[in-house]
Amino acid sequence: MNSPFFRFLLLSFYSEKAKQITVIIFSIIIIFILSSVLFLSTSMHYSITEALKYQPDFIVQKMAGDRRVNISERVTDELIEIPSIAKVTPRVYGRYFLKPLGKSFLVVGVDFFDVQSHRGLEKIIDNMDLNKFFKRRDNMLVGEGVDRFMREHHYDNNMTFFTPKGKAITLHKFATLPKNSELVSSDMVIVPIDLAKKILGIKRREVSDFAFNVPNILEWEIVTIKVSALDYDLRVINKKESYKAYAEFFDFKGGFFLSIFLIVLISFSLILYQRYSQLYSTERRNIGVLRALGWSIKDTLKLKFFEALLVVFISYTIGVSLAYIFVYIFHAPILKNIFLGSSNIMVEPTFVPVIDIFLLSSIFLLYAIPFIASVIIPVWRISTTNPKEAMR
Amino acid sequence: MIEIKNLNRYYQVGKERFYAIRDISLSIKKGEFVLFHGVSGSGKTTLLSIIAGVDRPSSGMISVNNELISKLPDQHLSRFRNREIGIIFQHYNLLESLTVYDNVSAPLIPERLSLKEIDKRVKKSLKIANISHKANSIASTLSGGEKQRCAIARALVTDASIIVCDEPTANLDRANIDIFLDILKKLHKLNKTIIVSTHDPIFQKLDYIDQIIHLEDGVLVS
Amino acid sequence: MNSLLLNTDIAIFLLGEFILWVVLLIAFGVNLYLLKKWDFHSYTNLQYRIEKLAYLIMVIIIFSFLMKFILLPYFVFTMDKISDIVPGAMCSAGVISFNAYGMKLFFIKMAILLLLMIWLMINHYDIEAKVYPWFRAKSWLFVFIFILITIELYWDYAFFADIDIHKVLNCCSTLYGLLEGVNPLPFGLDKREIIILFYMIYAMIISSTFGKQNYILLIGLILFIPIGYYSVLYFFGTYIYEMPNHNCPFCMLQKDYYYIGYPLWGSFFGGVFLGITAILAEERLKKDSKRLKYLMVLSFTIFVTICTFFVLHYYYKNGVFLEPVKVEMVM
Ligand SMILES: Nc1ncnc2c1ncn2[C@@H]1O[C@H](COP(=O)(O)OP(=O)(O)OP(=O)(O)O)[C@@H](O)[C@H]1O
Ligand SMILES: [Mg+2]
Repeated sequence: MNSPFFRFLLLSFYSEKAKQITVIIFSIIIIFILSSVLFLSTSMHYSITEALKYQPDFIVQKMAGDRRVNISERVTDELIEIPSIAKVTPRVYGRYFLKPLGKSFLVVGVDFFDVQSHRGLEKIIDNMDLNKFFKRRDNMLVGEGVDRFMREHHYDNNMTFFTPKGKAITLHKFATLPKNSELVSSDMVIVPIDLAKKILGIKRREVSDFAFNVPNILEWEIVTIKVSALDYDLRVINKKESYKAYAEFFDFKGGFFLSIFLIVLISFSLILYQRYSQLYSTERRNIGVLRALGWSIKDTLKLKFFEALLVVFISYTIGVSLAYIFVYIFHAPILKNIFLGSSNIMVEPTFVPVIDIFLLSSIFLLYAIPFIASVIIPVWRISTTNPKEAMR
Repeated sequence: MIEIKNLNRYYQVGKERFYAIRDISLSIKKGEFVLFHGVSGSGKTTLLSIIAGVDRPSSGMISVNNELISKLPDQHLSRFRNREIGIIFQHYNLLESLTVYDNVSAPLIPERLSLKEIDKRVKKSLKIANISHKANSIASTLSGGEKQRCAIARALVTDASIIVCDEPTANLDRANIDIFLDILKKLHKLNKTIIVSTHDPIFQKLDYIDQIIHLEDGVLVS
Repeated sequence: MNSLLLNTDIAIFLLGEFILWVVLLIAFGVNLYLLKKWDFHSYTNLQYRIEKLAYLIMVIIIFSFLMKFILLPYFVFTMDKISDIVPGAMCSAGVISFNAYGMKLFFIKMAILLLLMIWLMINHYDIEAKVYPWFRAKSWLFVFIFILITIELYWDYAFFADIDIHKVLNCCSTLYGLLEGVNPLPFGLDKREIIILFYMIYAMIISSTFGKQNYILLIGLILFIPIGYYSVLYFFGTYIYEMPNHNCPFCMLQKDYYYIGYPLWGSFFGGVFLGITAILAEERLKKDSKRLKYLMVLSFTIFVTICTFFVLHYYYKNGVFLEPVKVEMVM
């Protein structure tokens, strides 16, 4: 590449800034939206993968129709008999509905003396003073959303729960769970297991479901089969399946956004086509003059295409940087709600910047191919202006 | 050396053909100073354009410096324009938003020269055209005479052997016309072939004109 | 609807290929028009317009070539990524062999890139010549390329639409793993022989390039395709993975190996393509194509350097070369 050419390119680009600026601004907006959505969904994806790391490999549930029902604690003994399963953790959890407000909390019962079984909670609980926690029998840990709810409704540090039988249990907020831990959703309330059973109305000898780990992935399939064979109404979920379910959910959301984006893209292409086809008499005359001065069609094509590429690169760089700031520094306000739906959030994105070449090239391809495709004919048309135009 | 035989250029107007020039044959030797003379619409610009490789004939033969340019692909015709022809347009046709310097360097860009070589050549032709002092001014801020000198510098920068001028004095005042004629004389001495299309009688008084070609309705009259 | 088609990356890939196809369709239409009307010796306005239209085809092809050049690694990368959600697949090798389209698709993509490169080469000399001597040749070539690209687009779609993420796949270790008692190397060579051949053919390519012996160069290129490929697969690749029995052309494209597969395979196929194009230019068009040949030499040198580097690096670190161990691979 010869530098006089690029010098000239920049000069003529700069002198046509009025024409370029609208296109650049438009492009920046498009790229900004596109990259924000992709950044956000990649982050979510990442968060979920991280969260799943802390999930148990297997969950065994008892089904009644298509609904999960509580399962007897005795099933543990049957599970333990299967060779690959060394340890089974009973889990107690459920949604507690605040009917008048249309809100719900996720109540989770935790065996505080066996925290290893709760992957991910270890970190939080290890940092806690358990002696202090157990000084009172009615302590609870709350997620950040619950904390906010309590403050908004002037609950101070105590909140009353009603068991299904109508008995009131008042719990005391011991601490708020840290916001950025992958496992914790913001509407979570963590209490000791017995208390959780009472609030959720689970019988003494029953639990919500069982969780266990099987380190060797190769055994997963056989374990699934064996556990299913224990009883006709057992459902076995392994982690890979839930990962897939999440991935499909995101692909679906992403696909939805992509189709909206497609419509935007088509209108953008039409605007571009029209914009580049507009006969700028000076631009046309200038190309005619250059042609008369001995520039070949190849030379003017090169000039005009590099101009278009310059627009692509400038708007790409600015658009992506703005989206980066928007998503990773300001945590994507508004967009986050649109993307996740404002109701019960499954996983709060952690906004760890996960940007790789692949993501960047996805954005580039999705923007550059339609862009150049829509300007290619107008650019060709202007570049092949007859040199005779200059003689008028 | 320019050789033209039975050259036609017509425009299709509806079903009719309108001949801008018809059956022109002439020859111009190297280093000659030639005048195309005729009233408005007589086909001067058309003939000049074809010689300059800017327009293409509808039929006939034209060869310039032994190159048959009547039928050349764009790549070659452009290179021919670039190397052999310097054009001074009627309306100067500068790139208005660029400086004089960048205007003059424009024909050198496709040549893939180094910045240093370009600088050398641009400065040289700015000097011949007497416009060095305005090198860094934006073209749109120049006066008419300065614009023309900038256009001259641009026509000279590729060291073309043929300089064509279309109505060069149409928009100039007396003083600038004199300056322009001085420069032309200088170029004539440098043994450049000079072709001027004009209806300005001032050129006919010049003593160094080698050939005057009269055009009338696209036909040669001697 | 198959959920994989909604996968963002695949959707972007398919959309990109589709838009390129639409633009190429325009070029194709123009191309047919030109083939019908082209008459270089005519002085008509029509002919001058047509000569300008030829440039439209040129820019569309340059644009498509560049984009397809980016889309090919993107395609591989996409397969790598979906190997996460396809059970059993650990890299693109598993995904690409999921259905009958995968390998065909990969080869047609390569063929299209090569043909586009040849088209660009012919076009370059054609517009530099005074009478467009290869106009018809390049136009018919484009007709052929466009047909291939249409097939490619269909296969692109069919390939991803057909992948069932619930079916368990085999991956590279079972696809490429050493079969007991069977020598996987071509022409019955053993490993030492193939490495000697590898460097010998490289030397042969270099010397015939500078000695201007095109037929020897061509033979070198044809030999280098299998020898280069298998040397990487069964020898150099194991040094990249630092695992004596891991024979996979795709895993090295992953992040774990610093994406080294992209420059490695890129320079290999780039060299082959450049070489074929250069030989065609010289033998068929009778045009000197030094630039292409130098680029080819550069490309192959990068390839050989990367290969050699990993062996030397391993030796430097461990003081020994890798010895293949005969173990039964489980996965
Ligand atoms: N594109 C065109 N279509 C139709 N007629 C044209 C076209 N271009 C030029 N002409 C005609 O060709 C004739 C010659 O034009 P040309 O520009 O050569 O005249 P000229 O001698 O330079 O006149 P002037 O002194 O006014 O510049 C004119 O009658 C003009 O109307
Ligand atoms: Mg005129």
